[in-house]
Amino acid sequence: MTQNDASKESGAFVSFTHTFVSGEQEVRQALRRLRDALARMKLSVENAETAELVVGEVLNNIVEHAYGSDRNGPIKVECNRARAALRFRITDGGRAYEGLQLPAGDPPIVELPREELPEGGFGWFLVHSLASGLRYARNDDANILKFSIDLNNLSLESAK
Amino acid sequence: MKLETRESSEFRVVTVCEPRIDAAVAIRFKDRMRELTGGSVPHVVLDLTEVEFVDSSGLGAIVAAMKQMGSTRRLDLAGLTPAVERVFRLTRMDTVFTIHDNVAQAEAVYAG
Repeated sequence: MTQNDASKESGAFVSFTHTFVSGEQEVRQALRRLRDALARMKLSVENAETAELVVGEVLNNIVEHAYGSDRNGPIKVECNRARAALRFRITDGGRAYEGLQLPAGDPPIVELPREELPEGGFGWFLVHSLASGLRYARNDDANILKFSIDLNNLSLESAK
Repeated sequence: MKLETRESSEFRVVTVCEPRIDAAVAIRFKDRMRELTGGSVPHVVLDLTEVEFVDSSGLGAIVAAMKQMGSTRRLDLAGLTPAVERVFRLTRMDTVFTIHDNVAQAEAVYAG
């Protein structure tokens, strides 16, 4: 599928766009491309890891819930770098989120006997914990999810 | 999903020879762990030194692997890389597992 990234010479803004079809291996590949783009943006390892984790959770959720068994559904990831944040816009053509709302992602309860420990439901908690400005809109049969990853410790980013 | 095992004097070591435990492999990981930790091995240390990325699915599969060992057998973790450690810490699953810096440290802790 198409992939296009463009960087302005000023270095203040860099963008990344990738469109692919729904699937777990396809998500892995999309995250690999995202990692490469984030490396070109000279982000710190920690900031890049945060972005990959959050984007991965959102993409896996689209594959599993928005598209389910549909392995042909397109997913588009757009990322734009501002000075102190990465702004993401992720679009898919799958089912709307239930109640047209994002899941709350309650913190997992871990003070439980072993056999009662949760094995799921961590994804949205991680997204809410690590992303800011999370917004969902439903537009003409498309889900549009926007969020930012605030970049921490900007002084740790590579100087080159 | 490549996992290797060896016996240490105090426990069985299961080493994950993969860079990611994520949605693409979570179920396979859980199934392989069931095979490798079956029977009555009382204590397993899961060596995650090579694992660079664990998402919520991977975390769930690691929790499931511990649960399927039952309540009397131990599953410890070793060698968490920073990204993986952060997922455990944010979800507070780092309070559920005993986590060692590496397998050698686990051996030192449990040596007779």
